Amino acid sequence: VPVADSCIVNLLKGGTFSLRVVRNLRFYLHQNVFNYSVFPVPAQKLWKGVISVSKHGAQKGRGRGAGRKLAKDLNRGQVIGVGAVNMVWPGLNAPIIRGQEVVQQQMLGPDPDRHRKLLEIRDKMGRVRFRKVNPLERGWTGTKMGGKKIGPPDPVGNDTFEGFESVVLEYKVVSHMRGDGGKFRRVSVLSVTGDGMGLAGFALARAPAPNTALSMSKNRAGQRLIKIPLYNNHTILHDFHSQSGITEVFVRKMPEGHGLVCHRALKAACEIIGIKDLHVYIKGPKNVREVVKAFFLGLMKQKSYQQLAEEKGLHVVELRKEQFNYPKVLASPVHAPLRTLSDIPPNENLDFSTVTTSCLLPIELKYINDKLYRIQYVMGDRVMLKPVEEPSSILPLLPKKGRQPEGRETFLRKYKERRNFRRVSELTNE
Amino acid sequence: MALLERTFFSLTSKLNFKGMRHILIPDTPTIVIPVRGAKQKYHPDSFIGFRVEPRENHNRQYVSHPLIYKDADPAPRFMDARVRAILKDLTGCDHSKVFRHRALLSISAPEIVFFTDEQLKIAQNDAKIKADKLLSMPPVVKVRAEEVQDISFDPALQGIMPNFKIVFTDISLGIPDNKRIIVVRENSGKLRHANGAERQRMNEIYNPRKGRKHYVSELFTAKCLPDVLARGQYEFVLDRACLQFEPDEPEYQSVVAYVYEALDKKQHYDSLLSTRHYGPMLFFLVWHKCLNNFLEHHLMAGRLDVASQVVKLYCLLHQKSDVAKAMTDFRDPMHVVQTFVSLECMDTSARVQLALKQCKELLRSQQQVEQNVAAALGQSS
Repeated sequence: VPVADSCIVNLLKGGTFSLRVVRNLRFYLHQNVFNYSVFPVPAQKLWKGVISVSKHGAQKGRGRGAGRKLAKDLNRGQVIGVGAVNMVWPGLNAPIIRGQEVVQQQMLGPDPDRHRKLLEIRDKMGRVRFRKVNPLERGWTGTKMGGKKIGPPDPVGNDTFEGFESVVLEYKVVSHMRGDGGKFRRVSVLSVTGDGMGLAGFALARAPAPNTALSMSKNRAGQRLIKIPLYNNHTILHDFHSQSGITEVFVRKMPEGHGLVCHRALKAACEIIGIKDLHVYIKGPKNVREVVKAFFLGLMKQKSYQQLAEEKGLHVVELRKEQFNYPKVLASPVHAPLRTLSDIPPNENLDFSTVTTSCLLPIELKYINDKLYRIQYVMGDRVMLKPVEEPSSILPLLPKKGRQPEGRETFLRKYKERRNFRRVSELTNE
Repeated sequence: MALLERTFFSLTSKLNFKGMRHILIPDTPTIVIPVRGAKQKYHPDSFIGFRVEPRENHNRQYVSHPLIYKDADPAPRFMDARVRAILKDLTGCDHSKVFRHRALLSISAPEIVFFTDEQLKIAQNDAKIKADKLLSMPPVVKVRAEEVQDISFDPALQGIMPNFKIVFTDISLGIPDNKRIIVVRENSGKLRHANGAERQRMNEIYNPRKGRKHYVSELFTAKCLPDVLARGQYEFVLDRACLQFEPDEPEYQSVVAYVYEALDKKQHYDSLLSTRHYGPMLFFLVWHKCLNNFLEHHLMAGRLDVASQVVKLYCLLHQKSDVAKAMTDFRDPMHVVQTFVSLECMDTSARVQLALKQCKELLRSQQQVEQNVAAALGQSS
């Protein structure tokens, strides 16, 4: 501001300044005015000439998003008391008394970089630019918040939420029309919070400022935690079906190494919960809120193995193919009496995946396109088709589905060299 | 060439083979012409030659070990029911180890079922049978004989195929490898049975087994094997050896003896518990009378029952020894072990005697504790 500088120079020369100049100085410092001496034009008006978009342009939607011009605030990079003349002003940019000494006014050497730095700052200003996100911290997409981690919820009293992590599942900028006119813009955030060991919760929050909405959402989620029972800390206990509105979610338990094969929101939620292997099929609208609600509902409704053993009055046993089908007893009924084969009616459904959804309808077999299917009735009468495996034949290497069935004799002769010698020679009477 | 083939046919028809194949074992690569079975007619223009390369060696040699079963035959002793009972008992059957997930098997979704008590018992019985199968021990047999029988001598065939031997292999279906007829016609006109190495090579060509290498695997060389064993991977090496060799091969017995010796030095016997290799390992130690480390290890831990079983095994395998003669009461474990230590370990190992003393102390203190507990309970009730 040239006026202020000239006053200071006058002071140095030992001159005085009149009250009127002081008044003007304050006025001018406040207003950021370039004194044309005829037209003092405020900065806002000057910038408007550079930035503004015409009425027609505004109707078309120009000058709204990224890349639009912004007014450069020339005060940035400057502090009151520091200027082109590098000087110590006790009371302004230095204390009056330092220790025992009284600080004197002192002219320091000129700062050659000051102007260059100011210009650097001013060069960076002027356009709307999205902040660059570290690739490791990205969500599902580069600049958007969906899938981005936002840290643990804020501590409440003694609860510090150690080991917790939250992830944004939905970040929407929404608006509604206010009664007194004009749009009211808010940010809506759906997030999930959890410790990776089965404790998790989700919540929705809306706030005008984005940071406020994010922290509100994760804190609210932290107040709505549920304990989800997991199997070996990597997957759910059993298959289930669950529903929220018309969004249906068919969830299948998977072995180690399978990974999370599901909607990206559920994938993020599972990582937070601590589920590592899962398969989910969503039927109906894939609205993120409904999907997450349905999923959590199903997780809460899981039945423990002990519960199922009591309900059925039978042992719950796990058979693993890679462990030679060794019968590992997961739960045995303690209170309920153990039933024998004669106690079980012939119609009773003993299929674990259907029983877990507490639907005790009989199993039906059905031919569809010449293939045998077993209809499983999953929760609420929804039908799931599961193909019935062919009974294994004597010779394991039968031709696969697509090929024409060969005459047995020709087949045996053809595959003789690669097969079990003794068996084949016996069968062909060589 | 046609005359040669016809001569071979006349010879083969005499020996009455079905589906013969001629193969040469050269020192340098050569083209070989196979001829199909004596029943089939062949056309001179329908030759399909294939090359037989000398074995890939990489200048590698299997480890050698002196303690192989070459003098006395261990097979009758190994097959003895009492011996096998002791070995099985000592091996144990820890289901979590026997049925553990092997690294190379892919994981599938576990099947969860509802079982009644009867169904569960049936499943557990099946598991027991499977466990027995998984714990079936690789046989301990004498090293195969090097001498081979001569069949005939035909001076008329001398020098027909200079520089090469001709090997006839019966590739009919349904014959196990060890019973297959493999004969060799030498340049001198002599027809003899194939020796061990030739048999092994022929079987490898006509009946390759999955996992068996046709070259000397670096694992079994003196360069590599000590490192692997230093890491404690005894079971892995023994499994690989069972896959690669036949039990009567001298190479197999050398490798296996090397592994047992390394195991014995470090006293890592427990790494083979509940595996199929524990029995043969124990048999080896008892047969070759290398029991000092074993007894020391188990007596220090207070495992008197194991020590006594092993001494009983010793008596079964060395029935004419002093220990077997001096043994009076087989039912008392302390007496059994004491007899053995006093007769065999007095001169050789002071550590075993010390271990026995330690064992006695341990048992005494255990008894004392039990007495005190019983007394306390008696008083309170």
